[in-house]
Amino acid sequence: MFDAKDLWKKRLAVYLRETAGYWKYVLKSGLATLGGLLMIVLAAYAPGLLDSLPADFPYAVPLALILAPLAAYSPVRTLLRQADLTFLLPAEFRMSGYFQGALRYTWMIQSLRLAAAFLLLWPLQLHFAKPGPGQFQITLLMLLAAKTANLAAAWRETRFSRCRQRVAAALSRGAWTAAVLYAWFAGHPAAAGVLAVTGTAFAWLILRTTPKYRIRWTGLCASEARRQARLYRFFSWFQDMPESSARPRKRPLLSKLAESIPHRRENSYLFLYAISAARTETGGMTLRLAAAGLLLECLFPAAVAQAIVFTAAVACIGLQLTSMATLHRHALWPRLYPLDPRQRAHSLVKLAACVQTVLTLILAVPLLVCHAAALWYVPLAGLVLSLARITAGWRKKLERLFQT
Amino acid sequence: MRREVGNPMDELLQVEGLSGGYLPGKPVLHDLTFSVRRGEMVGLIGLNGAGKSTTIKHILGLMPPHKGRIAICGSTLEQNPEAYRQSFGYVPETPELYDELTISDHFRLTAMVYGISGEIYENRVERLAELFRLGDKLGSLPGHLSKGMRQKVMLLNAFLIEPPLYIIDEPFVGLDPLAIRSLLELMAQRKAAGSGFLISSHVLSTLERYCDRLIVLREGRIAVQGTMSDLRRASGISSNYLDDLFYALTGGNGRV
Repeated sequence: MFDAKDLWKKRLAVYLRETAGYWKYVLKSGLATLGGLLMIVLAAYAPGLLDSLPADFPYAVPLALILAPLAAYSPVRTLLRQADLTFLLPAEFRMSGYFQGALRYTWMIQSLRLAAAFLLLWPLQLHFAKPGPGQFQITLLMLLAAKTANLAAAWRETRFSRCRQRVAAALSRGAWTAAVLYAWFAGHPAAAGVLAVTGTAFAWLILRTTPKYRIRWTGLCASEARRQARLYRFFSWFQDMPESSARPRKRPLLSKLAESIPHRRENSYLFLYAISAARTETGGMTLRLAAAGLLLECLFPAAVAQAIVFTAAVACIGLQLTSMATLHRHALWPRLYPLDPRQRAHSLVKLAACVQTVLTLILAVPLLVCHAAALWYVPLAGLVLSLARITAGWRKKLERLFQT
Repeated sequence: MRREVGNPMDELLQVEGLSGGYLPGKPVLHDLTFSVRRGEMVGLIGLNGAGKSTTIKHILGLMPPHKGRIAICGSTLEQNPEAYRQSFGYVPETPELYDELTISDHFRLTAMVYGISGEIYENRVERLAELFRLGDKLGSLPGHLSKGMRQKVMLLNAFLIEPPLYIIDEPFVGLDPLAIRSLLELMAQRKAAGSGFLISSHVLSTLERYCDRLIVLREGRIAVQGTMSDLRRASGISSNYLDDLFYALTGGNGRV
């Protein structure tokens, strides 16, 4: 007898066991220590940082901008696989136990993430809004309610038959959530309540009337593969990981940059890796890290804050770029190409060094504009150290990896 | 078993005494000797598990031989890996495409890898894309293509290089009848221009019609190789159909 609930439990247990193994490597890598150190530094400098902000600092904007995506972005971890299209699809009408488990697990993980971010940002609210007793608990409950509503809506949106409708619904939901949170943190709870009620009613109407599938299997499998690939890519910063396929995106602007690489034999691998990075999460995540770093540097212009954000962003970009080593690692064609295998490592190093340099220089701009005299050495050290890591240690690792 | 002896200058592919397999000491191929000459099409046939794919993997250089020598255009992989790899184009049984590259990116990459200039590459792609009716798919990612389309991309990729030797594993699987016809025409053109072909396939009627010679593999050994007449002699039956000869040679009522 098919038991959907039991299947979910078994899959989740396997997934957690596998992931726990990889998290061990992350912890062993020193990232936890570095994170802990950063927290201590932040905690030590937080009062000074907050004092350095002007009294009319629009504190509700960063609060809403950081917490709204965490509350609104609600992809459901279904742990579905491609083979399920053959084996589970016939049991579609008996799958509710499975998806209820998936929704519960997703809610728990995403709520924890949201609560942790809120906890980190609470001092900002405390400093500027001087909230009364019980305000922390009420805000936390409000955030969890927002997460619950968003997750419920996001799950129904996954069933929409048209891509445009899914995107439009998700974007409107995100904007609405940001507006509600902004109103709440800016001290207008009544406006936040009205926005929340009207938003929920509107969403209910849209969700009821939009044509949808019972379960959009192919979409769920594809997004599951994407998320798994993202997780594996993160783990690949610390450990050799199996390749996981995620659907690439065309990204015309970034692809154009790669296409501008001159048509020469020695550029073959450079072209392959540049265009692959542009169309996969490697490129997307690298740019998102740079954009987030730039935004945070602008939001928190104090010297220490900017230096911390700059260093963290440059380090994360470096880690992200080195994950390019996993691209096409087991592909057939590079083993057949009439090219010197050393060119492969050389091209990867060249590409990573080039992107690292450009993004480090861009991230250095706010730092140099605000604190050039005091902190000129921070961007320089960031650039030298990150390039040294790529051109020395990583190059050797790549040469070993691609040895034939 | 008859061994072909030809002018070494004409031999694009020389396989001499090849023994090999996945595990050292456990060969699945035993003492294979054969060649592919200029302007010649050679069919590699055998039952599932006979060793066709393993033979091809050894020729491609993906597996080191336990014994024996493989040379393409006179170069071995050990002596001159770049010249060896430059001399053949390969079409795998299952399309192997980079998911992140559009179809035209694949062709550009291949052109770069094999040192084909931008202008020549563009002319060839235009001609080949028209022949295989792929023109409107050049900007697509492989994930959006059917299996047949992906197979066409693989074929076009190999023909773009115009190498001396083509190694093709099951070329007809997934192709529509028009594409099969285009492929056969193209193969005939390249053959006339002096290229050699080693084709592994189960579509015996096509091989019988187009191949100059056939190699029948059985349990990792060459059961027989030669022309249709040679196969008829070896099987002891007088049929004109390769199907009948193959049945006799590989486990039916044949003598080999």
